[in-house]
Amino acid sequence: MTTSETMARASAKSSGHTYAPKDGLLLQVADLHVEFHTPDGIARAINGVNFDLYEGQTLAILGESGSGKSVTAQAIMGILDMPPAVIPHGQIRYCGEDLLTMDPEQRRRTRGPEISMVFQDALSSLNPVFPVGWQIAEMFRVHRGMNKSDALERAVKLMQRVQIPAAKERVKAYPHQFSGGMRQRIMIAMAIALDPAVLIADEPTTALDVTVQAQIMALLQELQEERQMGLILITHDLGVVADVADKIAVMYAGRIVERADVFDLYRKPAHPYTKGLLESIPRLDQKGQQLAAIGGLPPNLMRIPNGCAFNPRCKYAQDVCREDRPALLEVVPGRESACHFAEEVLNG
Amino acid sequence: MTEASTIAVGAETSAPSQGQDEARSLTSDAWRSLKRNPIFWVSVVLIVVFVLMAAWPSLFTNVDPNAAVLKEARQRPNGNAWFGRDIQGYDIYSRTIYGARASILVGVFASIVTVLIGGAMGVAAGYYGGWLDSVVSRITDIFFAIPLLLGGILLMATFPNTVDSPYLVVVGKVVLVLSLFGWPGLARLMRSSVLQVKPNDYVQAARALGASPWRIIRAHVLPNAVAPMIVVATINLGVFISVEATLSFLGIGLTPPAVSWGVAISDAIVALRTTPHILLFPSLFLSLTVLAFIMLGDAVRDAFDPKSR
Amino acid sequence: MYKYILRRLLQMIPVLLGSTFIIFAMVFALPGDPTAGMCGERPCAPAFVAKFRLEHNLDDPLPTQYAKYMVNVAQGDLGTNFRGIKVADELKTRYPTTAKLAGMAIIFETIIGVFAGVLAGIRKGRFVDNLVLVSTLFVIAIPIFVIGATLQYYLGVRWKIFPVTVSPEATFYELLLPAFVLGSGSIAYVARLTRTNLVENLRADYVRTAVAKGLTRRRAIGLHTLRNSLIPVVTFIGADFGGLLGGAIVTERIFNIQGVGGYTFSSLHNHDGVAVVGTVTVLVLVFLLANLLVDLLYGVLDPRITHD
Repeated sequence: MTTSETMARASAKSSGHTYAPKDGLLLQVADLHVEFHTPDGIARAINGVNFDLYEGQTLAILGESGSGKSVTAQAIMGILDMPPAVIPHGQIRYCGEDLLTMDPEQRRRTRGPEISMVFQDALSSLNPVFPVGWQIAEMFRVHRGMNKSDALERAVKLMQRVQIPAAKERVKAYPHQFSGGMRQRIMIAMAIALDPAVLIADEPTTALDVTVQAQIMALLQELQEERQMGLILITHDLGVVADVADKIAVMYAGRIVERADVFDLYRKPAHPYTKGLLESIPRLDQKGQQLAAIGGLPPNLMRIPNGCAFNPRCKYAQDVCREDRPALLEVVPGRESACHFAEEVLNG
Repeated sequence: MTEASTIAVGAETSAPSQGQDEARSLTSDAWRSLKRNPIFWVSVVLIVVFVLMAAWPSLFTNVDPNAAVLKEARQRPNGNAWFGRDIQGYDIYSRTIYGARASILVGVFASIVTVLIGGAMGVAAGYYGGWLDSVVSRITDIFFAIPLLLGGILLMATFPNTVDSPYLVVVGKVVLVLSLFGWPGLARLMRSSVLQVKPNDYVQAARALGASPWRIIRAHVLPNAVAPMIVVATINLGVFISVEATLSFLGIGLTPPAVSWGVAISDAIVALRTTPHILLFPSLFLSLTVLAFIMLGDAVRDAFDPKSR
Repeated sequence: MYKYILRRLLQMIPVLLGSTFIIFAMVFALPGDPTAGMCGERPCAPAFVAKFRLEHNLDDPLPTQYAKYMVNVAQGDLGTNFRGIKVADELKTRYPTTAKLAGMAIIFETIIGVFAGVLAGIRKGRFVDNLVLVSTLFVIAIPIFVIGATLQYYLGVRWKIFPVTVSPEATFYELLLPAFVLGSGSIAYVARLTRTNLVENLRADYVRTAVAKGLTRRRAIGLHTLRNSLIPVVTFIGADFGGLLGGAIVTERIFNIQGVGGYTFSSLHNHDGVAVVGTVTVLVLVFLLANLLVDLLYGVLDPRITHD
């Protein structure tokens, strides 16, 4: 992180940011736990997640359904349904301030101007009864106290920025009148409206066609570089994040099991689960061979296995894996894995 | 974070916890949750009691509902006449017990007839589609345009009862009126649920295998489309009883000598200022009956539609 | 939008013709004596019957009868009641009172019903929610005339908070209690419907978005969620309008209100068939128009409807 970038962020403060990052460190998630208290028992969705996010950095969080990746995003955003969700431990520090202990009103004011989020299904995530321009403009009206016409003007500019054709004419159109890709662009325009420092994108392209997926990812990357946002990209699709992410954290049963730079991880995974995921991607040079899928099912979050949560599905599993839970440790510099046999996996 | 308290958890977080449980069918699941619902049992018990009352009133009382003791008229509840006596000196307890029959008969028969008409119309429109759908839907719209009570008033005013109309004719007329203007809602509901069921693979498969339309409807469409209509019909049963009472209150529904809650309430309102107990008991029984059917319908709906919980 | 209105109006015509035909057929064309009961408990004098049959074209073929009847209705001629007064004239003097009564009932429905529904919905499973759920169930189960008579007795006669009956002027204050009684069942339905929809919509993704946008809870629920939850409520109020008109007959009878409903009741009581038929036909027309209005409003409230 250079001084000039820090300066840039500091000057951003005058344009509406209440908080300034120290040494570019935007977000620190520390020992985060999230449980869901349901009539059938307690589901432990997140069991001690740690990560940092810096300005201009793109962190991809990868995992299957139920791995806790979306819950992590929702916990950071503060949009978990509480109850049934409970956060028994952990901190989420934004520019040094713990969001979890922050006064609710103060926390609300961070949503939008400081941290903001793009959701998976833009059709259901946009309000069906308000025009899209109105919904974007609402950000300026609520957080900046702008009047209706000024806010709408800003909304048009944002729609142009995310490359919506004929933005001026379509500002009064409703969400259902746009295609899936265009709706996701509107969602993005709304999320970046107040120039947030952190943008969380929760499966932003899952509901879209493959060609549109690439366009949306390119747009996100472009905006991230332009504004030096910290971007958290939540996905279950390795292919989507490969070009965009700097770092990847792989989650399994509510824990990060591997973390590495994106190219290192792709080249040589250091956790059996990541290895399994990579092997399950169809490749052209494997034509005619059987696709390697990971056997078994993700664990029931109410009965996470003792030891390593992945052990019932792991071909490396030994007795130690059923007794001791491996910590997330550095295997080689810049690479972390939570596996008793990380080195064997990495070198094997 | 309190302001986030109403936002649901992403569906995917709760999915794995259910994934490994054995698959249960919707019906057995609904029955399980029904069995645990006290409202369901309360309404069932009430309905059983009222049906018994309608079928065998002598189980509950041996006082003749038509035995007037004029000199004891308007007597308050006492050891002799538990609910007191009405303006004409009838025993209110006995009248209330015997009054169940008319209400239950009207409610049950009007419900059966509306289910038959509405169901048939809905299936015809939904399953066959095309011109038949257009015709049936327009007919439904036309009947839907006449509000139940207004239609009832018209028909009952045109064909008024006379003092010597037989009991079954009096009741039958009310059933006819309620059925005539009560079916369109059910037809619309049935049509939309048939439309939802029809594109399913099992229906298409049965068609491809050459099953006759009648067989497909009976074996595949009806069992999967009938639940919402039954729920609404149950609730309607209560509504019909209430409308019958309203017609009687206006003097054109059931008429004396038929013993009915509506007639009793109508008579009692005149005397409300001096002897409120005459109004209380028939109103209480009528309301409890209506309530029981509405609660039963609600409970069944909740059981089949877990979303509403 | 104009195209939509036009289409809806055109669609209404067959429904209108069909429903008036049914009303007409029920009263004049079905086997049975249309003059039955008109002269009290005795059969009518042959001279009266003959005059009646002539006046109502009962000796013409059915379609002609209906056409003649409709032409009369279209010209505002609803026949003459047994006192020799034109039914249309009676209605003209009486409809403002009923309109006021029904309007106030709808306002009660909307304000109290929505308020109670929202209160219950945002506190789902708590005391307020259960209170609203249970009390509305009771209100729905108790027939309107029992509610009316009881409230009239306690609030009017015993505690003298409200006037017991309504004078021919039908002032706002006098109509408060009757309008509340008339709207009571619908208030309960609106409350339950609002609650159900609110609870369902609170789980919607766009509410999560609203919170993620940093909106206050008040704005996320009061604007984003409620706006969506009220769409079915508006539909209900329209469909329920017919019930309201029926209820007006009962309410006006209880509170002795000189409106259309009271007129229907006294006509029923006097076995004045022409007056009953004319009045109810007008009420059905009003109901149809109200439904059309609600359909149009629905298109405004839910942008997904008009633009498809």
